[in-house]
Amino acid sequence: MDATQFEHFVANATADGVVFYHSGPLDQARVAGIGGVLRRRLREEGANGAQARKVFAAFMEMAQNIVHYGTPDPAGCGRFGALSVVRENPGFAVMCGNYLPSAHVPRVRAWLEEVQGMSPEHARQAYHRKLSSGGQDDEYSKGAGLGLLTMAVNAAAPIEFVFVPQPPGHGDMNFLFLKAVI
Amino acid sequence: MTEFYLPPSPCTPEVVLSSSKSLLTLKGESYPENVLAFYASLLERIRTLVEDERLPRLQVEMRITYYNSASAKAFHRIFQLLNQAGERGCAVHVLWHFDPEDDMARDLGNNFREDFPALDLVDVPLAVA
Repeated sequence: MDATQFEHFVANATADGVVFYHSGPLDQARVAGIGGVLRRRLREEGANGAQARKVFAAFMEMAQNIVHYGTPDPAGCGRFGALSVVRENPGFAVMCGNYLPSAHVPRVRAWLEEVQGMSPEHARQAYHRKLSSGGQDDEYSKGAGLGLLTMAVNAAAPIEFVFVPQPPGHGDMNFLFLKAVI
Repeated sequence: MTEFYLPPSPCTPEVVLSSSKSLLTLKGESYPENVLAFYASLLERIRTLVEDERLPRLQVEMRITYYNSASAKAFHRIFQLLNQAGERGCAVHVLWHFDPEDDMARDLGNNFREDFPALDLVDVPLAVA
């Protein structure tokens, strides 16, 4: 990428309302650091208290999902994932992407579709049920059940997702993108 | 006697558990890398306090400004333990602090009140700064 290409990159990101973007290895220390930066950026963007809290919560659930279940970075710097917060008036979109073994796709897709079909009120009730059941994990990961429900409760629209099959040579992987509108 | 203290960090709360003061407080943020590992030692000490020491009463203060979903599960386990103590006669009073704009934190307090009737859980909406 030369300087002109970078100029286009920055101009596009600015025009698209990108508030924060990270793509690369992620570990807990970085998540904590990024959390502080994100809170300041949201204030600068004029997010109100409730908005900032919900954006932060969705972001953290996504970030921690990457830290716990993403593909280990070859250089040993945590897990690989992409995270972004984008201004989408009147609120924000919080998005993430991470690798997922293809064998997990049907299970994850079923859970995502189930949550997608819930109203915020249904998601709230499902959250309580899952919490009260002792958080028995019937999904693809230890925390993702409540994490996804947290996003669904806070979101202004159903959670969007897309699975992108990866070319051979990277194991049998999909890249999963999630989007929560706050 | 149980006197347990964990200093706050950017992603873990300050924790005080004291049998001499009959007090448990959690204050700050809660999104540790490994929630189960972080709360395991606290759960064990709470168990000692309410089962072995048979504390007659316990004042609990929850002042968590942000918790992730895995931490909510950990809180559920803490309150489950305290509820069992309450059923055995320990008077457990919980102050549940939350930002009035934070619907999920308010709901979580309601969930705990519903699930754990042996606890006296009182809402404390924080003054908005």
